[in-house]
Amino acid sequence: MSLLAVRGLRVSFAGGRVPALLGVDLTVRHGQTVAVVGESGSGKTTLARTVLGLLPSSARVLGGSVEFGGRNLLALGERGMRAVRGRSISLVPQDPTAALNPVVPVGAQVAEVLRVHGLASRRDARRRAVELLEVAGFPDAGVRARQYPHELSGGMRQRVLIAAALAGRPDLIVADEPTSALDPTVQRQVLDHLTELTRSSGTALVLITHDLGIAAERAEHVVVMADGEVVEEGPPARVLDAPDHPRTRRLVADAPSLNSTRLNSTLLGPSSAIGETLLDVQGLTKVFTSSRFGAARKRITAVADVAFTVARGETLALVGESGAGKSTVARLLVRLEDATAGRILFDGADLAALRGEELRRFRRRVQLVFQDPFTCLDPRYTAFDLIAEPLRAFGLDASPARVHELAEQVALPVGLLSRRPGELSGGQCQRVAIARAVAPGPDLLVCDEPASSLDISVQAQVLRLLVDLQASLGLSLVFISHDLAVVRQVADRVAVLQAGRIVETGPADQVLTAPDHPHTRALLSAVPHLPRREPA
Amino acid sequence: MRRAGFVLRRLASAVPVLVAVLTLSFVMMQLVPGDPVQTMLSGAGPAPTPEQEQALRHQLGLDRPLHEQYFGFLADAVRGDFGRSVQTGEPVVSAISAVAPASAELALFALVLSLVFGVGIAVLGRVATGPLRSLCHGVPVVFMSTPGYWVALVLIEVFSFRLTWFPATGDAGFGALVLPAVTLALPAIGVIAQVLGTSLAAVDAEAFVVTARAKGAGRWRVLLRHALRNASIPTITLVGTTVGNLLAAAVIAETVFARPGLGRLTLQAITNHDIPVLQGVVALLGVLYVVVNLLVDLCYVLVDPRVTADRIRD
Repeated sequence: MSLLAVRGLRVSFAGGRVPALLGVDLTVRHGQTVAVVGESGSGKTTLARTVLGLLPSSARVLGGSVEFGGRNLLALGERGMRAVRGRSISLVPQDPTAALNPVVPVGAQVAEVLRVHGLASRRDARRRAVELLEVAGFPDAGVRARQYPHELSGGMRQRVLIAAALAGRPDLIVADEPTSALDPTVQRQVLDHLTELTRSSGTALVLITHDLGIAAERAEHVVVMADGEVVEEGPPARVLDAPDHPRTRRLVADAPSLNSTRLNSTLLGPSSAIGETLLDVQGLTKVFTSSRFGAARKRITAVADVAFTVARGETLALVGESGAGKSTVARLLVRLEDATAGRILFDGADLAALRGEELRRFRRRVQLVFQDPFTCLDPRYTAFDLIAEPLRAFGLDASPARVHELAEQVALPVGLLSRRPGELSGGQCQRVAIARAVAPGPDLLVCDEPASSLDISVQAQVLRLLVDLQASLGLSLVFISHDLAVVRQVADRVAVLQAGRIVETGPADQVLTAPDHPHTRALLSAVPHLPRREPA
Repeated sequence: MRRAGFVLRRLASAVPVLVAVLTLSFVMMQLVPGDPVQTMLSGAGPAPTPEQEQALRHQLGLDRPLHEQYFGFLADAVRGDFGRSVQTGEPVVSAISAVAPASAELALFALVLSLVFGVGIAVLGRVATGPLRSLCHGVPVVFMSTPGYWVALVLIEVFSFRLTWFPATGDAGFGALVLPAVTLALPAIGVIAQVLGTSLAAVDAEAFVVTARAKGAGRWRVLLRHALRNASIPTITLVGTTVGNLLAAAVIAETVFARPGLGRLTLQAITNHDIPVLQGVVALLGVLYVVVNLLVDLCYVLVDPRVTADRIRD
């Protein structure tokens, strides 16, 4: 008998005008792990929210049923669902930073489940919370329980949320992209914990993810969603290795993988000649000093003795876990930050020595693309103004014709130029950001996780765009990412950062297939794999 | 430990603020048009002789060089001596301390009313449904936009003259406190309810609220345990400035309701060019602002554990 049986579920937003689910079926047996995969907008999160009875108020359930343990959850109402949530079905949410209350100690947030459902007295709940944190992988759980979320790392926070999800001994856990905000190595640890704990307690798991590698590695059954419908389902080996449906095939094709090769420009064929050295970094070191009045000064070495070169037309990828110093290097390269020691030579000139007009010319030749396209664009500007702004700032031709030309270069429909960032999708915003970056005609683009916040297929499009722009404009790229599968697709050479130092550097083919350093090997082995795949 | 250090640092930083307040009040009084000695002697009676003027000038220390006057003023102020009222000859400190309790009573009661009803309306506006919800959303704007003197007159008309529940004037007992306190509190209630309501709505959209609901927590638990504390920081800042506004608005309330208090004392001092009294009041307000701001900062620390955390970019 099945534990959860969703039948013909139809949900829509905005009073029925925006359909989200168009008759979805989903079956989960006791103790089974089912992965639901799909792009964002495919309806997988809406499905999870409906099962938990946590749809936003703008959503309406139009039809279908959600049978759980023989009861129709849709007929229970808010009061009835409150008894189910946390006790019979619990949630592991997506972003561990936003999903924990910042002003409550984590132990109390785990204990809350027990208190809400009357499973333990105040004192017992506190003790049980420490035990649960221990099981979730905190050796020093007693101390951790009294700490606040900001005192824990991202991976630890997600383990707190897993402990809270397990606290009520539920029959089913719904994990909504539980690790998409985490580094590959941390992701692996957290997923290991989650799958181990659900297996040992016989809890069923619905794993919602856009990462096909995770689905392939962790699930017994894979459900592929697209546009509010289930388009294909079955065992992962079958679905992901020999997909039937075109949408599944596209997902599999777009998924970055370590087995793929570097993308080549669709315009100019294999990468054009790599020229002389453009950027030469020597002994780069950055030490941050906390300057809190009256407190002991702390010195944190973010970047230590880093050296690399980037040639014209070449892509160097900087990879590493978060906190490895990647973003600090990016900020030093574009001189948003001054180095404590070492030199950065750009086209032969020492960055630290640039002043006035020379510095302005340098700023024009080096541009930065940020991770989150929403937060780096002024929400009150239209796309047109956003692209025209750097042109005006450098006194270049900012005519509508030039802005349209740039929009076409980044494949942004000209009709969207009158919209503001809030009215554009993530991929479209990132195209605007890239158009801004290439507008002043730079020689070097520093891209800080430019595709990490995007969907797989959008990510693939943005990566292709960067490769095409590089070929047609002869750009050099410094590409920062924690995602080695993405790096595989764009990098000529790779430098691996660990705790501010470069531990390995070399051609991408060599570093990503035959790594020397144990840290590189650890990073590589943490990347979830799809079952065997032909190189794209 | 960290909290103790935080308090000490904030207390230390209050010293230069207070010196700045005293300096400003000294400078302002120098810039005020008109000669205090002329004003003081310009009452009824025969025109003062130059000797009389000279004597008064000497008595007030106004014939000394400016920097001596300034340091003398600072030294006296530190000892709590602001001289005597030009008008009554009473020491400034005793003139202020005679009316301060009445003002403190009024401001405190008004503050309690603002907090209870402001927070109450904001919370009710999140939980209630139907007409009560609309009422909770509409009332704050009405409260904020009604002028104090008009509210005061309406309250007197209705509650003193028609219903005779509360006295219209004076400071006899708790009953006399109610109408002026309500007059003062209404706009503050409106602002607090508005700001807290907006913050609560914003926090409601946060991911940790979904987490709490996914644990099975009910509406009230989510609101009181999770949303309220996270939403309270802007409101705490606001309450800090509200205390200052209460003192300013007290001028109107104390005049309309004929209550003795700091507001009326200040008004009289201004009309009579009573500079020592004004300097005393300004110094007192400066101390009050510093203390209130310290309390506000302490509330931040209690409400949000991240406030004292070192912020170092990774």
